[in-house]
Amino acid sequence: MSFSNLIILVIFLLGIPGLCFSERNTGLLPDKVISGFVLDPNGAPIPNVTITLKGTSETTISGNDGSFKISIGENIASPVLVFSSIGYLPREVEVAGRLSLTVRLDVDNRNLGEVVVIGYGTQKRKDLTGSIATVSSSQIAERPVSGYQDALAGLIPGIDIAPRSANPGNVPEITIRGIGTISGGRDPLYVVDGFPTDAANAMAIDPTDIASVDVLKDASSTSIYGSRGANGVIIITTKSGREGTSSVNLSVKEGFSRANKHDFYKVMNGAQYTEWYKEKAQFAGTPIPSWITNWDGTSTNWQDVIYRNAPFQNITISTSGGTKKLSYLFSGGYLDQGDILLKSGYQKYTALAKLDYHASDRISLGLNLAPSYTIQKLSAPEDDFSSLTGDAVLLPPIIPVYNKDGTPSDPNSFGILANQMVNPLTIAENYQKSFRNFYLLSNAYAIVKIIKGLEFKSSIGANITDSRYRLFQKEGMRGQALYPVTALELNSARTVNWLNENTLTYNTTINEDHKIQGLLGFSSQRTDFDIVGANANTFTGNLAQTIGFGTNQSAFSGNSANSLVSYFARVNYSYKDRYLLTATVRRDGSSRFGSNHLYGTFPSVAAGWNISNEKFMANSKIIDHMKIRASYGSTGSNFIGDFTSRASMTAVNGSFGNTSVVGFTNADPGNPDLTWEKAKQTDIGLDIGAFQRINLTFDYFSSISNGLLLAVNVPPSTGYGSNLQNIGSMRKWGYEASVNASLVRSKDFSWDFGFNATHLKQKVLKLGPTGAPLYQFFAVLVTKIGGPLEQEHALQQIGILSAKDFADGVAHKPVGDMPGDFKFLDANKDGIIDAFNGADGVLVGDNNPRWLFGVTTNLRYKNFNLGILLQGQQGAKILDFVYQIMSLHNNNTNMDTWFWYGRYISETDPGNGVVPRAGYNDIGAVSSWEVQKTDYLRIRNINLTYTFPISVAKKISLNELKAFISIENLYTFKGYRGGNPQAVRNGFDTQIFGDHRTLSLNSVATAPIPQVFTFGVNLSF
Amino acid sequence: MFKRNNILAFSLFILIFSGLYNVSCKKSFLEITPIDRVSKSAFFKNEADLTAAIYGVYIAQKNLYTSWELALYNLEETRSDNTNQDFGRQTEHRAVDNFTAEAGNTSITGMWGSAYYCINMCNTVIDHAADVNMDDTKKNQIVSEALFIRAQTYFQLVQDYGAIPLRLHETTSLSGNNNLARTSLDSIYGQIEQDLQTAANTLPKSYSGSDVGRVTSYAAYAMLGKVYLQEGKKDLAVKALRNVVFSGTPYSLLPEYADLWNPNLKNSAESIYEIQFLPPLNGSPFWNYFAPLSLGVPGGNDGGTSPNTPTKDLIDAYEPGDSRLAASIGYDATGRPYILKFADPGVAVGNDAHNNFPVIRYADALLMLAEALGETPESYDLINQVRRRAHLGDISAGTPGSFIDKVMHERQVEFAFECQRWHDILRMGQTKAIDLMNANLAREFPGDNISIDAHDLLAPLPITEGQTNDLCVQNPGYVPFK
Repeated sequence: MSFSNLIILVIFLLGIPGLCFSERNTGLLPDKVISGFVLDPNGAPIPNVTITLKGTSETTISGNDGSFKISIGENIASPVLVFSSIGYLPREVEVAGRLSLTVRLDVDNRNLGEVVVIGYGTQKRKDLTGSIATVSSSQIAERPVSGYQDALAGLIPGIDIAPRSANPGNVPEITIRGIGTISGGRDPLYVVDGFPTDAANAMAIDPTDIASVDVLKDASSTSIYGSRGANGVIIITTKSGREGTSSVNLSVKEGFSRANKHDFYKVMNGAQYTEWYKEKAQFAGTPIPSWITNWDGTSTNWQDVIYRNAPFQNITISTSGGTKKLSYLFSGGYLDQGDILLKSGYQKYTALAKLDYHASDRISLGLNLAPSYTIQKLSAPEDDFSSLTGDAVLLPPIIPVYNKDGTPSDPNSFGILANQMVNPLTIAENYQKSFRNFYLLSNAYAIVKIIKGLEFKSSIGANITDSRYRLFQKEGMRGQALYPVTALELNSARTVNWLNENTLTYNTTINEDHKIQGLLGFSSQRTDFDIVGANANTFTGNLAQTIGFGTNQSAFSGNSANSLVSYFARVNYSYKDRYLLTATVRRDGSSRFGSNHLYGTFPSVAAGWNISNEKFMANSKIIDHMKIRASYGSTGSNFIGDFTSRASMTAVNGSFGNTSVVGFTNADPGNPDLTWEKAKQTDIGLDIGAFQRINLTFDYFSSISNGLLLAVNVPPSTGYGSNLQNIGSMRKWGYEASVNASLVRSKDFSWDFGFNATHLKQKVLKLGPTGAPLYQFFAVLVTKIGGPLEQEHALQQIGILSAKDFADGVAHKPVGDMPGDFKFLDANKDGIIDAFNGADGVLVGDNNPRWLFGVTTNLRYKNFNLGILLQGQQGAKILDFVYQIMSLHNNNTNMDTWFWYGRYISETDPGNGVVPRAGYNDIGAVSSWEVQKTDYLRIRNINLTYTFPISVAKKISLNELKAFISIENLYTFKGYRGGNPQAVRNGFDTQIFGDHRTLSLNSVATAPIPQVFTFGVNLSF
Repeated sequence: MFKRNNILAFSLFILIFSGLYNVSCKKSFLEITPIDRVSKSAFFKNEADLTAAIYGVYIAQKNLYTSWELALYNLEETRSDNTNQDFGRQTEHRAVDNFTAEAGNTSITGMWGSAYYCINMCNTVIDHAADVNMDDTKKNQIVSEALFIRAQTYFQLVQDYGAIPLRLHETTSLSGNNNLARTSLDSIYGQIEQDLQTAANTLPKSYSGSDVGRVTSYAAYAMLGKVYLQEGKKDLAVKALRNVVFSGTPYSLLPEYADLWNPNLKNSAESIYEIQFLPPLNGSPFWNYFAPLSLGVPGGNDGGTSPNTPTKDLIDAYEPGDSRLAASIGYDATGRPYILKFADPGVAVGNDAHNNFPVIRYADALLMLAEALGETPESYDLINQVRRRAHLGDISAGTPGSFIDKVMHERQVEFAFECQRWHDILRMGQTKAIDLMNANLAREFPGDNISIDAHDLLAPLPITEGQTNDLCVQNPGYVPFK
């Protein structure tokens, strides 16, 4: 976006409020008017502070520049103003005859006044009985990320945000409090401004537009979402205009992304490579290949070729404000995050429009519109060998990148490779894949106040996702064995998600002691999906790239739909702010479920005790507040296919004589009993605030999920082989804790520190009727009763075979073993090393993290603020097939220097006892040496902000001016040899239902999570 | 006090709530008919639906004959003395041949699964026919076609595996208890007889146009005769077969034996019932499976390089001058014999030959009637009809050997590789069957010391059933399921 365009946009957005909402602060001035500013400890203005004249109903709200005016009746003797605002400690100030005041508010670390978004409403944190963590706009807005998800990691406990691939625009896999399903969907439910949608729609929102992200973790908070709540709920609330304010905000972030070389695979250089292959030939007793003897000294690290410094840009401009009648917000944003991999990247165009119109005292109407358009471009397939990363790791280093004429070299022309490989520059130039998605979230509502405290709200909305996928493999790929033909793949899919919600809420206080909040609701939602696609290949040239110009044209289409009808109710009761009770129930009917189980009911109860409000603790000098919470309830997971419950038939071809006929035969047996996976969740929590400085939250949680979907083998005499049934069971449990402390709090200097950690455990309780283990990926992965999900099943490497071992008759593989090869554990002690999936296979780990943690620290000196966020995980181990592939080297491919240092060279130089001889081929022996710890600690973000003094800002007619430097993913401490420790392989199995990725296996060399360096400015006027 | 605003608010509330409630609260809101598949609940409404479903039954039966690398053929022919499963990597097929197959063998599990898939498809048609609005005569015909194929499939299962679970209704739910014990042989045969009798009474005698190849009343009588014969109910067999073999029968022997597999003579005058194949895509796999690689037949795989070849016993059984030998067996360049019977010179791609596979042909009806009648002049006349077509001289009571041996000899060479031999051997009786097979095994696997006993006459029940059906017990002599 050019600067002139930006100016035009600013003027355009400025114009709207200028024309429509010019009326401000009219009315007669009373006898005595006090004016002033409200500032935060940094001296920045605080907007939206409620200022009340104590003992009266006289109230005002501070403007965006922190300014306020309030009138004071002459009859009030010693007027006191009460300042209160979310996130700040309330303060009372005596006017004492002054006409102008500047009031500073301290940050409220107790978050008690904080409003938490719960399903179909909001609640004050002090009244909360469930487990909900909140991330506010200030923790997200300045981060250079392509979606808010990337900004959440490490900020709150209990949530695992795993980027499975480092390409910008990819939705990370998010799980809340671990995975509680064997083969069903793991995604939490995403709710954007009240609209239940999916991860991609949520990610399409511009992070700068987000006011808060609330993560609902226990049954008490999620059972209001019934059959969709079992995996937790993430509620995203966007910013809105507020009455009595008017402002324009501009946020600009400019910078670049780069790969950290520290995260590269440590591949062998030309000298190591040639020496290694020379040794291989010597061990094999074959002549030394001429490409070794003729080596000209070329030493290419192909990883230097595939990465680049890519631009990062994010501009958001918004205007918001409101009068008594109308409040509004308009926002437009543009994000461009280049991929560190060649010719790849992600762009996002967003807009947000929100209007609230108060038609009368009793009726208000509103409209939200949030369209966005994203483009993701990829320049290679996600494939073991032909991804840019896989290719770059495996290509021999002695091949030059370029020919003498400057064109990319053909690696096959050097007589080294037996099977063809492609220069990554050629791949990136000729493989063009893109996803162009349009998202629209729209919602209109009406609120009617029926009597005092009783409100009816009805909303109707649509969420439309239109996604276009395109792949063109250009002419230049032809002649390379991996891509023998030019090809075009297109598909176009649309999801229309229609929602109507009706709620009645009632709030009342009886005798000041009994506070009751009630909710009654009815909603219906329907989703329709359709897709059409076409393919063709063998094009002539690259000029024409439509299906018609190719041969072997084919087309397909698909359709699906589901509907959901729900009734829900919730009561929150509080007695004297001490005893809290929440009861929730939802009844869902879903078209996805079998005819015998169309409806399900999901209840939960929770209780809280604000101990600190008891008399015996009221005067504690240490404890500011203390609450014990407990909840228990039932939620469901309906992530099953739309029509999986229905028995269906399929068309087959046959004949009579010489006439073809089409017949219909039984296909899916269906299951009229098919229903949601059900989780029974318990949460016990403790919230403590102490010394006015420290906040601690601790939760124990446990969830037992039953009725987990599994393909169960049935007697073949029924005419079927297997049937999807609700039969599995597992438990996940653990602890999470977070501590936030204001270590130093003074006028010029403050230091806040936060730490959170989550401990996760899981155990499979029941599998199918026989309890037989579930095997995936050639039995490399196994899920067994009593263990966690997807354990890795492999041979245990215990050393390197020596000549003496052979003399002693130590067990080894039946054929092909010699000194210098891997020594494996003979688990069944039969003297032979069986295949990994046979009797000698042992369980060598799993990739479910045991610990997640995050550390935040915030240092402020005068107008400077330095924030650092660290984030990491511990306890997971991945089976990394990248190393298996490297070990095969039957194509003379390159490999990690793991194979170089400490390798077995001879009986007299046996190396470190771990690394085999040159030429050892680990084919057929998936073994423990490929298992890698994925523990890491990442410097997720460093942010240095300078807030210009208000006086400076005012001089250039600004209410706020901030400049900052933000660095994302500066460095990752890890033992993992590869770019991204959280990468896993794409789903690959028939026994497991659904299309999600495996958990414990990776096979594609991974690109590092990019470093992003940005400089940014936020200003408002 | 109701102000204007209140009234407005209240009406708005009622309007929105009642309107939306009506739209979405109807039960139909949760009833979505998928359009990306044929939902069974929406199917079986009219004649076209039921017709498509009976075609599905025929196709399921075709798959039973071809799937799992000819599992049915392996159990009903390879196991007999007619063929030898040679060296090579297909140890599973060889295990069937030398009687070492256990419950997990792919032929054992494959045949069972495909047969029951076909049976469930028959049951689907039979159960849903009542839902269909169409002409009753046509409907009854379709139901009878399903009854025939179900009866035939049960007949094959009961001979191969012994007593088996008899399922007579469509499987509509799998989530409950799916256990079903093995049904007694008497009950199974009773059901087979009843179904074939119904089919024989209901089905048309012939079809025209593109319906030729569907099950006829004659086919049902011939199959009924076969079942009775296997049960030893010779009088009933004669009665049934007289409906097929009579003066004025529409059936006759083709002039030349080799014409039986001529792709241009499908559903010929000799054909009573056969499995239908038609390239492209729905052709027969038999020729490719048997064709030696050296012949260079397109898609020929020589049984995955583990050839199924004629035994010396079979080759020796042909009398000099029997035209059936050259039409059934060929020799490759190395002199190794191979199964030539299903050769299709027009095969273009693998497993896509043009010729049909016979289930019952008129020659079978003639020989079955002869066998059921016992040694009578009429019997020899029936046998001699078949021999003359093979360019052989007549036999009579004076020809050496017992009558039953002469019938069985004729059947062996007439129906070689047509999935008849194993059932014929079983019909000889336990002692004779065991002796015959042991003599054959000694010649076929010299030095392997393979011999069988009574338990080997039944295949083991598949492990897939044993692990999922708690009431299903294994045949004697095999590793029990529990």
